[in-house]
Amino acid sequence: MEPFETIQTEQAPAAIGPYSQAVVHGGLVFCSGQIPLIPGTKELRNGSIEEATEQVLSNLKAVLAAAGCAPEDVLKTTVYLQDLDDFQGMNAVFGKFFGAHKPARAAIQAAKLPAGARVEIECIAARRAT
Amino acid sequence: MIRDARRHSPRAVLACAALLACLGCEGDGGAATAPPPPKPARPLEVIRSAQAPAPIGPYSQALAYGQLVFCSGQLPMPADSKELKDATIEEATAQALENLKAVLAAAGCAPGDVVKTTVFLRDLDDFQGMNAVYARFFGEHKPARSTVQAARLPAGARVEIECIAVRRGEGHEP
Repeated sequence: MEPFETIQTEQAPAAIGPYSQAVVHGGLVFCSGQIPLIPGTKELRNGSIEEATEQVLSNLKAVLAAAGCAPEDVLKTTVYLQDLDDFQGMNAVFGKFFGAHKPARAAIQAAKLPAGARVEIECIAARRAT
Repeated sequence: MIRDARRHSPRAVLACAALLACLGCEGDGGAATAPPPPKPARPLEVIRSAQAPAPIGPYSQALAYGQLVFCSGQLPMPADSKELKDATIEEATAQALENLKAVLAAAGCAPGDVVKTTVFLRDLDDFQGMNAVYARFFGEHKPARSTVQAARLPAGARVEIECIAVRRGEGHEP
């Protein structure tokens, strides 16, 4: 059996555990949760929910790009917030990032996120190039 | 040539490269059949239902791609109100599932087409109450599921449920 195609890019933070940045199967790209780590550093861009969300989405975009996808190929996202009071701040940046495209989404406040992040976002995208 | 390529999306460039590779094969003495035309990119379909609450942020109720339908997390919010139907876990779960059913229906699916759900509870002590309504809703069909207690849910809801379903009818082949 062929191994799954896994995605690895230096444009996004390296995995902080035994997982891949993304795995591709059957035209779908399953992206790991991204936290606001700055690629190539151990630094978190976590000062405000706006900059944290921006960094997370920029990381996701890099992983998507390495898989041949763009933000408008995203089907479903899950947003984990450290504090649901950040819902509107996250929404503003999330909305700007995706523009006219609106993926499906679930959002929750988690009890705690890795590395003390304010936000973590994962997604599933369609790789439409055949 | 390079300038032309730059004006195209990376995908178009990839397609070009693939085409050139194909032509190269033929030049080496392969069969003289024309390469198949490139498949058009399959569209992502946005699903909308007036029978389920409008999204409370920059997302869609669901997106369909090929056979798969990705449904956003539903809260116990009736379609025609901004107030949660949230007094008990039973009525909250029933409302969240009712909403999901409406979104699924707009995508041409029924509860029996759901393959995976995620249940987010505000309080895991509601597990059995949620289970009772959930089981009645799905009947014989038992989708895969994960359940967690979230620290807090949007709008202060008791429960949020998301799902992935499969469109099994004609025209949605993988």
